Amino acid sequence: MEELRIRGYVTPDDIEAGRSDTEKLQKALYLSAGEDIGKVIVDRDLVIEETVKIPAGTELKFLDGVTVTGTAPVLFENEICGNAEKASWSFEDKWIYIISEGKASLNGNIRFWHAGNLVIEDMEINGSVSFEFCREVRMERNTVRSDGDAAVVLMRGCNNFIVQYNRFEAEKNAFAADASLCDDRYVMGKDTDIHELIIRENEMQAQTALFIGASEESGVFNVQYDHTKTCGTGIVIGHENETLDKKRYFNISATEFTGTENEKLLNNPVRHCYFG
Amino acid sequence: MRIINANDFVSPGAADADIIQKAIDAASPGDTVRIPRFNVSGDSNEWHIGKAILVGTGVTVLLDNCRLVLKTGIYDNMFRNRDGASGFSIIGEGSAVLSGGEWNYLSNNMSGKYGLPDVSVNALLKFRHASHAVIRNIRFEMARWASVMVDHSEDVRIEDLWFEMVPHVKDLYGVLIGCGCRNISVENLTGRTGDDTVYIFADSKRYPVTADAEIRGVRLRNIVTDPKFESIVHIRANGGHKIRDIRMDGIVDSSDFFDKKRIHANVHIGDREAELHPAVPSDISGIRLVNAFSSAVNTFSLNGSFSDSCFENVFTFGDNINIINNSSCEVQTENVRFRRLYYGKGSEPNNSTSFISRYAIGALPVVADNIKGDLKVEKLIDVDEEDI
Repeated sequence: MEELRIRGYVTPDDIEAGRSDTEKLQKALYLSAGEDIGKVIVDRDLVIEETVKIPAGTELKFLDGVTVTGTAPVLFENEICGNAEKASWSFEDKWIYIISEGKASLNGNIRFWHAGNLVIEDMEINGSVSFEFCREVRMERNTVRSDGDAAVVLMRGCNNFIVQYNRFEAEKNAFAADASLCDDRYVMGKDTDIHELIIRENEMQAQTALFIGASEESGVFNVQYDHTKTCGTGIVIGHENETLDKKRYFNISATEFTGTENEKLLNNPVRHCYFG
Repeated sequence: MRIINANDFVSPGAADADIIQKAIDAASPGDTVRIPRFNVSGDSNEWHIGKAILVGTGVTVLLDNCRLVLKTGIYDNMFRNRDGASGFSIIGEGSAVLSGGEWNYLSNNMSGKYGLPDVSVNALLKFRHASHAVIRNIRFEMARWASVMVDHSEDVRIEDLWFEMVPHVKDLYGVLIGCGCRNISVENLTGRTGDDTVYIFADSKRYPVTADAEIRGVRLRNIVTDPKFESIVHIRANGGHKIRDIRMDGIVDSSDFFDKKRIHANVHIGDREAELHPAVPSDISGIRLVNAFSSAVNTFSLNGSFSDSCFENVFTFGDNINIINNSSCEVQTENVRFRRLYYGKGSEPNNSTSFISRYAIGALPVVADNIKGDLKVEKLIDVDEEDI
């Protein structure tokens, strides 16, 4: 253990032999957290058969050329996903870094719920990344490709995201900020709006580059979206046939983006939005 | 290009700062000095710093998931550059934390008095006469004054910083940019500072007014912070100093307006204590801002003269009261434009303490009794106006 502390990180192969990749990686993460080492390095390809939970305060680093393939619906999630009691009095998971040194690939979906201070950088993710009740998130220089509806999804309760220099590909929406979506439990005391998003200098390949959706209870506001190269429609605000009050979508600045079809589609009235 | 581990320089009785300094002194340009999380000498996950660590040319200091804390009672920075050092970096990997620890009672008001040193010794990172430097991915906690102070330096990149300031003391600036700085890029700042997040200050009390002292070419991008009752960006010059070419893009107020604690301003030009050798319009010029989101008391607090500036795409929300305000002396402006200011008529009184829906926007968009000269507001968009 002293050796691991001095070295400064844990690898899955530091866990005893005879275990599956899934067990090794999960145990490595728990060992790193339990011994306050704070860092797990994945230095070889892994096949993960169950969802792996990432504890708070973890840097999960993938070395150049590593591929991690997940066969479960979710490859990685933060630790309290699905674990919190009803009414969710738990503290959020904070300070999780998923980074790559060079070019590493993750084949699977990643989700975060009730988490803060997250960084995802320099990753290639063949799957979707979703967030619910997350705040202070930075995503930079990633490629996220999803076979599903969206590459990156912000569900209710997300705020303070900086998303730049990425490439997002999906069938329907490259990047969706949809406050009507929920996946896990409500977090007591947290607001369900989506706000303070900076989404810029990304490349987005999908029918719609940026989709913004709200609900009767939750709106989307304070969004800066610019310098984005897209195909399809540049920005869509509102679900089809939606009739919400326009205050559900306000303070949205969308500039310097290109769509090969329509630039923007407004399915609902908006307030204080600028398209330039 | 070697990677040098600070733990390889442990010797009996050596202080943590000396261990790290020895590692840095052993490095050549192009080398990386890694400060790991575990401190072998202290047998703990903290490094206790009792004096400034000096960084030289071409060295990268890698803070590898580590936590460095200033020792109690000392009056010194945590990191400084050697004079004239260039091409150096201080880069965090993972959760790299620099903490001021316990405060030493040295504030702006006490600076240089009663035998105390200048308050700038309390900056966690202080760079002077530096060039081509990078500061990246660091968490600052419990600072004693500014987290980062840069002056008389050029081509410095400061990015991906988090601030967690419990404002137990005053004047906890995020990044302080002083005289003589050129081409400073600041990007991706988040969290909570205990005073102005970015303070661009050409101070005649600290520096003589010379051509070299001009601050020029500062780029601020994605500054999403709560500066605890103060301003996200504060630009100030006095005594004849000059500040030019400040570009801002994405200045976002992330204060918790449910808490009824509005910040002073997204951008504050000048100073509320305006008798302190105020600037004239030619002193501060070339300020350009695109995209500000504000629930501050004032989105723009104009208490100093300035010129040739443009601010556009300004969105207000929450308890914002005034988009443009002036609270002290007369301010002269020349060729200043505001375009597309979005505001709304709130249904609550200005000083209401009742819960205000986040959709009620401040009552008065522009309060400008003392602002003279050539300031034009080119498009002001009310909440009820059709604006697409």
